[in-house]
Amino acid sequence: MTLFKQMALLTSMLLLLLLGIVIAVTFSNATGALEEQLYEDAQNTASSLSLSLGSASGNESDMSTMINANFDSGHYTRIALYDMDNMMIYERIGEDTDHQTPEWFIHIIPITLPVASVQVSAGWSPIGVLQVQSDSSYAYASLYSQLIRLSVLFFILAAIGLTLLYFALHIVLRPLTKIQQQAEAIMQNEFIHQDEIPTTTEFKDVVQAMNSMVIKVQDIFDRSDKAMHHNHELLYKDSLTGLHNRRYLMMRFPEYIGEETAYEHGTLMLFAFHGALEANKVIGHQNVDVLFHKIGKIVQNKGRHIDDSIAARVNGTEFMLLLPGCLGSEGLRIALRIIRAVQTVLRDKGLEDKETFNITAGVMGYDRDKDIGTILSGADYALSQANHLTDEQIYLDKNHKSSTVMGKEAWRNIITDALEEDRFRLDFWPVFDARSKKVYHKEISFTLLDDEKNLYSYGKFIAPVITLGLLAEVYMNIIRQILNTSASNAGSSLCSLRLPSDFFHTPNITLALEPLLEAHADTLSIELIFGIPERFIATNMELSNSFIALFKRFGFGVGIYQFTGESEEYSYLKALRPAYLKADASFLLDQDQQSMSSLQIITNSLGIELIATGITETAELEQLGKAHIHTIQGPLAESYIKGS
Amino acid sequence: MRILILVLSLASMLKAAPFASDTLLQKADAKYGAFAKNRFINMNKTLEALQDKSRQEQLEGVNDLFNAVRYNSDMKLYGKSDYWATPWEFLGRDEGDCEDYVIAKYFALKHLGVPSKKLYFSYVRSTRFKEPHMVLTYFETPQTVPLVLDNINFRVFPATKRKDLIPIYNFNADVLEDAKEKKNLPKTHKKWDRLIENIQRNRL
Repeated sequence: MTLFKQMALLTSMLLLLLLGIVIAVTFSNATGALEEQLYEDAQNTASSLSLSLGSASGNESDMSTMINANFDSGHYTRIALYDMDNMMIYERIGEDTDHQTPEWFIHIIPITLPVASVQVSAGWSPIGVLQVQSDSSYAYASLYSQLIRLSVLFFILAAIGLTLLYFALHIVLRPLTKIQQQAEAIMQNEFIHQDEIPTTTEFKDVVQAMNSMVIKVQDIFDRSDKAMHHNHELLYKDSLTGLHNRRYLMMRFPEYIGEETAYEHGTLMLFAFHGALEANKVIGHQNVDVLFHKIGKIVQNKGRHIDDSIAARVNGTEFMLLLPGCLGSEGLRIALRIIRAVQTVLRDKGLEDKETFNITAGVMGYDRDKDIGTILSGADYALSQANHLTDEQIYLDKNHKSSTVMGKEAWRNIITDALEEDRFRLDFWPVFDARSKKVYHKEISFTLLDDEKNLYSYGKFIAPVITLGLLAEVYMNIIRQILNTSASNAGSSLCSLRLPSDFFHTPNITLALEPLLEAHADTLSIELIFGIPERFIATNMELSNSFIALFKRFGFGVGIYQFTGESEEYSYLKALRPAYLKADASFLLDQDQQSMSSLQIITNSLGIELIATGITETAELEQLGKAHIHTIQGPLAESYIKGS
Repeated sequence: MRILILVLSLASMLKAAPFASDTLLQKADAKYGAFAKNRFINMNKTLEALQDKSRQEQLEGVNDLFNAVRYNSDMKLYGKSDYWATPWEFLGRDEGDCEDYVIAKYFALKHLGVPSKKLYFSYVRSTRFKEPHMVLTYFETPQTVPLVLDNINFRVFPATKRKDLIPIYNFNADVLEDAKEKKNLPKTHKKWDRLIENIQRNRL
C-alpha cells in the first residue's frame, strides 16, 4: 500500500472517528437536555396543578376533574394524586402513545421519564402528593429529527473533510510522487534530475541525494561516452580525411558477405593516388593534405547513395569503397565518376600532368559466397592491372556471377506461395549466458519450405525477397507468426527478432504494423524484442525513434544489433534504452581495455545486456570472458546448449 | 481521678457537634468580624441549651433566636429580587428576608432532632401587609393544626389563630429529597436545590 493510501486511510479514519464522537456526544447531550426539559415541564405542571387542587378543599371529585382537564389538555404519560398515607386518590395514565418516530429508534434510545412530585395542601394542611410524568413521544420526535439533522451534518462534514483531506494530502505528498517517479526511473536505469526541490526537510534530503547520484552517474556516462567516442576515432578513423580506416572496413566487411547477408553481391573498389611525393614539392604538404581530404570526400560522396556503403582510407595514398548490393557494372560507373571528379580537383590544384599526378581504380565485383581474402586480392589485382595495363585507369575484375541461379519469377512464385501458405518456418537460436549456463533469450530466424519440400535458408531467399520488394510482406508474415507463438514453442519466454534496415524504409509499414502489434499486445505469451541495426539508428535517428516508440507503446522491447559504435555519441542509448547491444565478437575483441571499459560502463549504467555474436571458437569466448562479456550468440552458443 | 478525666473527655467527644463548626466561626470572624463570630457562638450555645428541651420550647427557642435578626430585603442585601440565604449568610450579615428566617429555623430545628417531615415551608399571604410571605409550619401529625414560626409575629401560634395569614402552598423538603434520591432526579425545586448546594459549600 502506498504511503498516500496509508496516510489517507489513517487520517480519514481519525476524521470520521472524531466527527462520530462529536456527533455522538452532541446527541447524548441533547438526550440529557431533553430528559431534563421533560422533568421541568412535569414539575411546572405539578406545581401549578397542586395550587389548583388546593382550592378544591379536599373534594375528590373536583380534584379528579382538575386532573382530567390538565391531563387531556397536555401531553402526559401519567398524573396521579396520593393522600398523606400514600394511598392513591386518583390516577390518569396515557393509553395510546402516538409515536411519530420509528420503533427501532425508540428501542435503541431509551429515555427515562422523570416523575415530578409536589405536595398538595388544603389551607394549612397538606392533603396529599401529586405526581406528574410527561409524555415521551414529543421527546422522541425531537430527538429523531435531531438525529437526522446530525446525520446529514455528519455526512456533509465528512464529505467536505475527506475532500479537503484528499487535496491536502495530495499537496503535501506531491513531492513524494516525484521522488517515487525518480526512484523508479533510477531502478530502470533512467537518470532524471529533479529540478523542483521539495520544502519538506525529509523529502528535500532524499531528492538532493538522488539528484547528486544522478549527476554522478550522468558524469560517468558522459565521460565514458566521450572516451569511447575518442577511442573509436583513434581506432577506426583516418585523422586527415575523416574517413574510416582499413581496420574498420575489415571489421564491417563480414556483414556483407556470407549466408546471413541480405546482399547477394557487391563491389569493392580500390583507388590509388600516384605522384604524392611530387605533389608535395609542387603545392606543399599542407595543400597535399587538403587534396587527400578532398579525394576522400569524393570517394565517400560518390558511393553515398548505395546503402551500407563504406569509404575508407586504407593507407597514405589508397582509398577503398565498399558498395554492398552493387553490381560490378554499376560500380564501374561510380569508379569512373570518382576518377573524373578527382582529375578535376587535380587540375584545380595545378597538378595537370597526367603522367605524374594520377588516380587509378581497381574494381572488384563479388558474390557473397566469396571470402574476404579473395575479394581483397581481386581488388588488389584489379588495381595493379589498372596501374599497368589500362589507359582508362580503371580495371574491373569480372569475378562475380551477374545473375542468380534461379530467375526472379521463379523466386517470386516460391516466396508468394510461401506467404500465402504460411510456409516460412521459425527457428529459435539460443543467446546464452556462458557464466550462468542459462539461455538469455532466443534469437528468431526463419527458413522457407517450398511446395517440393526444399528448405531454403534465410541467406538463400532474403536477397530475392529484397530484390522483389517483398521484404515487408515476408517480415509481417514472420511477425504475425511470432505473435501467435507460445513460450513453450519458442523454448523461452524472451525472444528477439532482427529487423533489417529495408523493413523500416518500407513506405507506410507502420500502418500495417501498428494494428498487428496492438491486437496482440495484451495476449502475447512471449516477451518479444525487435532488433534494429545500429547503422540504421545512427543514420535515421528520427525514423528509428518513431518505430521504437511504436514498439514500446505496445510493450515490445528494442535491441540493437551489428553494434560498432557508429554514432557520434551514445546518449541516444539513454533515450532508447535497448534491452541489449549485439556486437560482433571480432569488434569487441578489437577494442582496447579503455574502450571496452567505457562501453561497459555505459551498458551497465543503463542496464543494457552486451552480447557478443558470431563466436565460433572457445578461445574467443575465453577472451571475451576476460573482458567480462559472457552473453554470447552464434554457433558456439548452440553447441554449448546441445552439450549441456 | 484519671478515670474521671477519661470519662469526661469521652463524654465531651460523644457530645453532639455544634450547629456551626469552628471552621465556620473562623470564617465568619474573617468575613464579618468579631460580632458575627459572637452571634455564631451564641447560636451554638442557644441550640446546645435547647437540646434537651421539649418540642414546644425548642420551637419557641429557635423562633426567638432567629427573630432577633433584622429584616432586610434581598434586593438590598444581595442585589436580587429573591435569594434564599444559608443560615450562615443570614446570621453572618445579621439581616435577611422572610425565606431566610424560615430556612435558618428549619435547619436549626432539624439540628435539634425535630423530624424534617413535620416541618413545612409555607407560602402564605399576609393580609396585614398585603404581600406574599413565608413561614415555617410544624405539623405534629399531618392531620393536626400546624404551629406557625413567623418573623412578623414573634410568638409561635397555631395556624388557626393566625387570621392575618392566608395559606397558599406548602412544601416539605423531605418530599423533594426523597424524589431526588429514589428517582435519581437531577433537581427537584430550583430554589431549594440551589440552597442545598450553598449549604454543602458552607457558603457564608
